[in-house]
Amino acid sequence: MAQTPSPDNLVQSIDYTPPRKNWLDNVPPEFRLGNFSYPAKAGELESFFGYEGAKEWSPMDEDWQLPENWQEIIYEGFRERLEKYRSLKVFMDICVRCGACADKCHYFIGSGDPKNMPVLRAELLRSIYRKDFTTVGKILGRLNGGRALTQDVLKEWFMYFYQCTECRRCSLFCPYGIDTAEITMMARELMNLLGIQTNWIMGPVTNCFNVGNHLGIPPHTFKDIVDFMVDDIEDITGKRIEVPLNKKGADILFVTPSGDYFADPGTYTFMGYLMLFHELGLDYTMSTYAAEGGNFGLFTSQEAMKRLNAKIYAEAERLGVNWILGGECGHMWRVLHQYMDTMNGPADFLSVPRNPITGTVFHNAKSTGMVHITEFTADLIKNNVLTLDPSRNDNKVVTYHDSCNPSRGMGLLEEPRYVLNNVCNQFFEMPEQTIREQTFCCGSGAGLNNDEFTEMRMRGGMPRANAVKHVHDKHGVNMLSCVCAIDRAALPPLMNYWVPGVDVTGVHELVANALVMRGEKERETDLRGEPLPGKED
Amino acid sequence: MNAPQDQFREYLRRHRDKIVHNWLDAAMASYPEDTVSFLKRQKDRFANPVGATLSRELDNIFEELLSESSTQQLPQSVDAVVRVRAVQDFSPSQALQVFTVLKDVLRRQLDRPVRENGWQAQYREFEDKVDQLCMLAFDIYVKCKEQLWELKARQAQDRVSYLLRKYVGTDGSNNPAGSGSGAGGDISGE
Ligand code: SF4
Ligand code: SF4
Repeated sequence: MAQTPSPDNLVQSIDYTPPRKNWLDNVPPEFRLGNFSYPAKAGELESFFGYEGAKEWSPMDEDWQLPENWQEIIYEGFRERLEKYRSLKVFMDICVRCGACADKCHYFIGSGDPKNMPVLRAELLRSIYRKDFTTVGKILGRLNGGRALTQDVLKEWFMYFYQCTECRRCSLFCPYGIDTAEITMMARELMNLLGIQTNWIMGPVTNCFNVGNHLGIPPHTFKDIVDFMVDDIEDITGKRIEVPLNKKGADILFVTPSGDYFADPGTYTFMGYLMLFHELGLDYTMSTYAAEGGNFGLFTSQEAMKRLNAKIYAEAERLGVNWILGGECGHMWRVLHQYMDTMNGPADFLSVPRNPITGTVFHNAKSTGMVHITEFTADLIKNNVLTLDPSRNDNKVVTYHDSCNPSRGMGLLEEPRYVLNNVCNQFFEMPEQTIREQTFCCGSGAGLNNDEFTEMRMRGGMPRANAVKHVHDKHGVNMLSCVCAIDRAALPPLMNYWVPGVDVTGVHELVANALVMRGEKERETDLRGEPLPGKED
Repeated sequence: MNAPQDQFREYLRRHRDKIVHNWLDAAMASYPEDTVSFLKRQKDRFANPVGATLSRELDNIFEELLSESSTQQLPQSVDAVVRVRAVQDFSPSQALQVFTVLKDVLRRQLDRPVRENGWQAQYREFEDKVDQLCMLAFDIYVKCKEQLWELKARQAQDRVSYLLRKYVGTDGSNNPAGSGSGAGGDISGE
């Protein structure tokens, strides 16, 4: 018996399923406030890259006011890079579209948008390669999966290569080792040639280059901030400590991301470094010129990355230090581990790093002369140099987020865990398919940690948060530790949204809580000013 | 004992798995086809949190609808689903369509038995429950969005929280000096 559908019925029969179509028939992506990162300021592009005629534009504009010969610029840039980087050519040629990487990206998992499948993300570039750079493609065109470079294609590049955090999780699962992060890097370089770049990346790049850190904090302010920290440390421990700045002839140059001295909770980790170095009597210095471990050049172009990285080495040489100790940063280590040596190395004016307290020589850091602070601290603990009272962290039930760059990018897996297990009594791992090499990104790497992108980052960070929620529910985990400044900025809002009740910390904040310093007063609070366990009244 | 009310509920119980299965299918149809196959295929809940959340929570929610009075589980389960939908690429009505499609599913399943057994009143009562579920979902959706806006607004200050604490003497919550500069802003130090 046929019935007349009620309005209610009609509304509910609307089919929300997106129409099936060939992805190559691209509709231009829909940019709306909240789903893209704001473009870079024209002035910064001019001053840093020397672009003339850079324009103010918005991705929401229909016409992106591209230079007349923009296709030629991209084409030439692509050709040049294919010649320069053999890996790029190989990555373009060998993908067999097996799909092993397809469901491994946190942005695909969280958004459900198929263009976030790594294989399709790479295909955005590969389809142009196939059409214009292969003989078959030139003849067969679309039959070979190639497509023409139009403004709409460029819009898709901007949409999706800026939804990739360059985390490399996909490459772990690719039988050929195709690194989609590097494909993203190349696509971003090509867009950069047209002045298509984001403000969140370009601002820090210029500030870091011109002044010395992402925010553009001048040297005297940096000194002020360090003095504030010294006061805070005195309040908590009763000890007044010295922090050497720009000291020539020191044994070690210490470099850390600037997030550690702008924003909580990174600040507590920064205080942790200072307390540790003081307790050891370490002959070190920080620099106001190389006051930034982060390197947003990595998200821009090889040229920018090289220039920023070079500052650290120029300063090490000027100060005449023997080696460099690096703080808890993510992508600084990727730059160092994977690119520094060929870009700016070898750093043969430095010595092979040697821990002056334990005598351990870090042969693994021979060519770069730079050691990760958790390697350094793990060595101290292993050699019984530190007096530690882990019970001071007893109100914290801790888990550890492997930041993508130190874990997948340089294989730093055991040292942070070794340190954590020595400075706190309650430590629980997240499920194994979400940690170590398989770690899920915070969703904010590669320059996506900007305010306007917040909602998108909640998608990208969902798989990470989901694993934290599991240990929060199961073991009562209330503290998520990490060794990356972007994590320390990005994970608190992520936790706030997905797993309320979990706070975020750096590893060296926990180290300093547990560190018993010679001659310290009886501590009442942890570094955050919260009462220590048993001192709650 | 054999009141129509009990018979109707008994019928729902017996067909519960099928209804929940169809509901899940209808809910997932809001994603592109390639995504749907992933959401259904991948059973590891850490590799596929969206699929796992939908299948777990729709099941929980249906159970709550079946019981005479719902428990705390209901808002929790609805929250878990809405929280995901609220950050994905959906308009508000698309996001909540996960719940409205249940009526469609029920109608398809129940059309005949309702007519044959004269369960119209029971059916309408159950539909009312689904309406309430949709209202609850709407409230939670708005709360999620509000939370996102607040997170967004607070971030600019949180990024320089230490500087604000030391230079301005606040956490910046009411301070225009801390707004909007982001990492690209300028702090002159003066
Ligand atoms: S590098 Fe990371 S973010 Fe980029 S496509 Fe691969 S998994 Fe996704
Ligand atoms: S896993 Fe490697 S070969 Fe397979 S589709 Fe992905 S990139 Fe291509």
